[in-house]
Parts: sequence; structure tokens; C-alpha cells
Amino acid sequence: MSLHINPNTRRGTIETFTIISDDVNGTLRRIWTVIEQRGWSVRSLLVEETEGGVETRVQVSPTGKGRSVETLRLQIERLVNVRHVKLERRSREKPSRWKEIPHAAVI
Amino acid sequence: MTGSAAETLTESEEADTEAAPRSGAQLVVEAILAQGVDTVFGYPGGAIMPVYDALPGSGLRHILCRHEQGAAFAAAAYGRMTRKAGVCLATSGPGATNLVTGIADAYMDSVPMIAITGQVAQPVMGTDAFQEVDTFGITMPIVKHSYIVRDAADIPGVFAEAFEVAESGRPGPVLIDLPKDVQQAMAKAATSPAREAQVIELDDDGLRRAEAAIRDADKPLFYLGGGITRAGATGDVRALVERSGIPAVCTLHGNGVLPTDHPQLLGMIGMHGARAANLAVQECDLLINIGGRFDDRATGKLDTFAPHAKVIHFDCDASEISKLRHADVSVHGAMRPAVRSLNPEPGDISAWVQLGIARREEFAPRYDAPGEGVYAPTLLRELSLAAGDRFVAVPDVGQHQMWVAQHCHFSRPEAHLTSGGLGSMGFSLPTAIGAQLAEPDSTVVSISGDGGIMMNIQELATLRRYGIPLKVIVLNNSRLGMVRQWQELFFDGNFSEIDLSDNPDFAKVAEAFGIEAFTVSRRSEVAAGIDRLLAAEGPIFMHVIIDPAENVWPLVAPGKSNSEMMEGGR
Repeated sequence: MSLHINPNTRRGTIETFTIISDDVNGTLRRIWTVIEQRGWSVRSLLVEETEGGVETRVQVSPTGKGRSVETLRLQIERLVNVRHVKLERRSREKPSRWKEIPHAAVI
Repeated sequence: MTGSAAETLTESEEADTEAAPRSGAQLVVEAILAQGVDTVFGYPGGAIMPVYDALPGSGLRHILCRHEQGAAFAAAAYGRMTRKAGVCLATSGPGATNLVTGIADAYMDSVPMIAITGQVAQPVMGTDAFQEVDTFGITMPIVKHSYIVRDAADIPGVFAEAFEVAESGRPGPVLIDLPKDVQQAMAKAATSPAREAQVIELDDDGLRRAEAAIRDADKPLFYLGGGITRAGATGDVRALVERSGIPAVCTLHGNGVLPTDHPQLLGMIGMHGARAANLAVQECDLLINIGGRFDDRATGKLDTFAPHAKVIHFDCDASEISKLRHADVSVHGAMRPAVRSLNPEPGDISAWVQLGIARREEFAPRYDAPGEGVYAPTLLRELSLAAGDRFVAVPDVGQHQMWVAQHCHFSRPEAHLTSGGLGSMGFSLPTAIGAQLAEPDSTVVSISGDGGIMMNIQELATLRRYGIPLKVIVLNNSRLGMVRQWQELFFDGNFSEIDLSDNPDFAKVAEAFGIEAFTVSRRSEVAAGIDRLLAAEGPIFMHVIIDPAENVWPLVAPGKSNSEMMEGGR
């Protein structure tokens, strides 16, 4: 069996969020679920403990048509344990600031 | 949960504790009672047995439904009627998965609900234990929030937070998964800091910009959505509409925000909306959306929806604003203070108002259908008028659901409980049970098709057991009517798997459950049937034979603009 990567997804816009949340089990999974459920895919994700919480940096690309990244930001922000979501960078280029981690490696 | 301390006690510690330790199950019951809940709906099973062991004598009334899905719908009905979270209970595994449709329905329609599920004991979680599923994971996309309680001491804090989350802001379902060992553990309740209530300041700038837009508009129109009811803002919105003089349309869930016969209401919009309402939206130059989410069934083809209109959008959920339709002016925040603070002063819109009134009269539904068979729209209209202001219609999903929305008279939004977002067949009967228990003095009528009633028909046993004075109507066309209609119109008449002509005799089925039942098959029998239905003191079941070829009109074909309404039939 071979994995087929949707070329449209690979070529799509890459957006980067920094998400500050409580250090609660399930929050990362909930963030990931919202992203995937709302017509975006997680391209890479880094989690770091911070004082009293967790900072998650996630790169996403749209899989659905006409998806607004601002709507996605608000949909993540309304999660109960999420304190703040910053849309760090909007780019049609692959951000160079930090290296993209292959999806499989994150899982 | 945030900030709660783990305080499960050893036996020696218990002796030193001033407050008597209680089992996790007892803490669950106490936590539910502490929220002012007096009734829960559920179905017992292995992993939730400790909670059921704590129920007798607790003062908490338990309604034993005959399927967990029925319990979920009934609990959500409490939320729909009261804006307080209803509670349902189920065991792990299949009990939890059977709740899923009810939870998803509550999520889609923003209904506050607490779903409590048993889970296998923590030491065996993740081992594919008997009746183990990842309930937390399965329900994650369809809940507002969820918890796995790992320590019995957390139970009071988790429950208090869960109710607050479910009922505040945009309401929704919250899941609490309780491992069996947590229910059995002895613990003293831990103190936890109260969750800070979210305060959203009134958006004065948005309000002033909205007032300016209304002043500048020649053809303003209110668009009333389900969020008004969820916010308890019906009275405030009615007052706003009336002091503005601006005409209004409503969504499926906005039915009843203005009474059906309100002079400013042009009707429901959307796929099966009123022509006057859809045309008004297509021609208006300012659409004032209060608590609507521009659902695709309401907008039709989004690109062509309200093409000339600027949009003002009031919503408590910021992520709904400009999600589908760009808002030129947004007013984010609590609806009641925002609506109260808006001072609309439109210019001369008399010609626009008169156009709406004229169209509403021109395109009013007709009830003079030929023939001797029962015409369902007429029956539903007469039923709602006969039942009066305490009428609560609970349709299932399908053709009859649209007939109810189009033809019944609603005096308030709680008079119309419908599965709008998820469109769940099987919704009506258990939801009506919950609604009748929430409002014992109301005339609650469950209205199903012959397809939907079979999906939760077991709840007739719940009606019988508790003597709930619910009125049940089944409109039987021996077909999956809406699917048949679409196959007729959009699939070249290729009727595939819609024939239900081998249905049982529903009146006999109801009688077998111990419920008074009768059948109406001719138009001349309708009036007497409605009288009998409304006069009954206990549960009663009216089985109505209707024309299999009847369609719902008007109809906007999928993917089409709301200006392209199809008419047919009568």
C-alpha cells in the first residue's frame, strides 16, 4: 500500500499559529481535531511547556475551499483550555523561521 | 480540569477528615443536584453501575429511556426548553456510542447538555477491555468540552465547570467520562477555584456603526436566527423589531421569535422558505442577522445570497462572524444587552414594508387542496391553532418537518423544537418526552413520519411507564417522503429504497405498548381526530394516512440561488 499525498494540500497556503493553553491532558488533541475538522490539515506541530501552561506552534494548510484562517483562529481560541491564539505569520511560502516536521514524525 | 487538587484518601486519611468521605458515585449525584437538576435521563450498564447504585433515595428523578439515544434527545429537550443543561447517563462502550447522535444533535443546534458516561476502570483503560471505547476521542469533534475524571475528589469541581461551560456563551454539550474505579473510590471533595465567567464588553462601536448602516439603508431586513432563543433574548428582539418598523425573516430555528402572524414577519427563509421571505432577502440592501449562522439550508447558493446587501451580524460566537458571509458590521457579545442598546432609526422605508406585506399575502399558502385524503399542511395548521399558545411542536426529520415549519402557528420559539443542524431522524418522540417533562402544562405534540418513528419507537414504552401525557402523530405516506421527493425531482424518478409499504399497523403497535391509539385516513375525520388528541389526559397516538405523492413546496434546488424557487403540486 502506498500513501498518496494530495498535491493540492502540499501546494496550499501554510499558516502558522502560536497557541497558549492550559497544561491539561486532551487540549493538544482537541486543537488538532478542530484544525482537521474545519477544513485544514496539520502540517507540523511543536509543543513546549511554558510557565503555567503550554505553547503549541502549529503549521496548517487548508483542505477545503474558501477557508478563512481568521475563522480558524477564532474556532481554536474558543476552546475551553485555550488562552490565546496568535496568527504568527501568513504566508504562501514555506516559513523559514523553523523547520517543518514531517507529519508522520509528529504522530 | 483547571486547578483541582487530587485528594483521593487512603483509609487512614479518611478517619482524619472532618467531612465524611463519599464515593465518587455519591459525589456525582450530589454534584448534579447542586446544579438544581431534578431529572436525568439514562440507561444503566456495567461501567456506570456505581452511579445507579447511588441514585435511589437521592432525590434525583431518573427517567429510564429504552435506548441511550432516546435519553440523549430527551435530555437535550430539557436544554432546548429551559436553557439549562439537561443530563443523560449511559454506560461505557455501546452505551456511550448510542449517545453520540444525540450529542452531535445538541452540538449542531447549540443546546446545553451534560452527557455522563461510565468508563472501564483506569487500570484496564487502553487494553480493549469489555465495553471499552475511547468515548473522549469519539465525541471530541461534537462537544463543546469534555473530561475524563481521574480522581474522585475532582468530581464536584468538574461538574460545576461542566455545567458552566455547557450553559454559557454559545451553549453546547459537555461530556464527562467516569472510569468505574473513580466512581467507587472514597474521596473528600477537593476545592477548586471557580471558573472565571467570561465577560464580553458591549461593542459600542459596532452598535453605532450598525445604527448608521440602518439609517442609510433603503431596504433593511432583520434575519432572526436560533441564537436569539439560546440567549433568552426573544422579548428584547421582538421589542427591537417593533420599535424599528423594519420587516423580518427567520431561519428554521428562528421560527417563533416573532409570532407566526406578526405583521412584520415575512416568513421563514431557505430551501423550503416562504417566497416572500426569500425574495426579500434577495432584494434587501441591509441584512441585520441576529443569532443566525448563514447555514447552507438557509442561504442556498452562498455566492448569490442577498447579493445587494450589506450585512450586520450579531453573535456571541466570534468565530461565526464572517465565517460564511462577510459582515460589514459585526457586533460580538452577549445578545440581550446589545439588542437593548441598539436604536434603529431607519429613513422612509414605507414602500419596502408595503412590498413585503403585499408579497406575503400574494404568496400565502393555500389550504384548499382537492380530494378527500388528508392534506398534511392543513392538518398541522389546524392542530397548532386548536392547541393555542401552549402548543409545542416536535417534528422529526423529513417532509413533515418542513410542513410543520411552514404551516404551524408558533407563539414562541420554544414552541418549535426541531433538529435543524444535524437533521436526525428519530429525534421527535424522545425529544417530545423531554419537552413534556420540562413543561408539564404545555400541549406537546410529537410529529413523525413513518420512517422516523421507527427509529426510536421503543420510547413509547417510556411514555407508558411514566404516563407522560404526550400527543403523538405519525404522518404515514408509506415512503421515505423527502428522499422520494428528491429522487422524483433530481434523480429522474429513479425511486430507490424509499418504499415502506410494509410498515406495521402503527395504531396497533401503539396499543401494544399500552397507549390509546386511532387512525385517521380521510379529511372528514381530521377535525374529530384533533379534538380527541387534544382532549386526551394521558398519552395518545394518532396515526394519519397521507398521500405518498405529496411534495413540499416551495423548494430551492440544492446548489441553486434562493431566488430560483420551484413550485409544484397544488
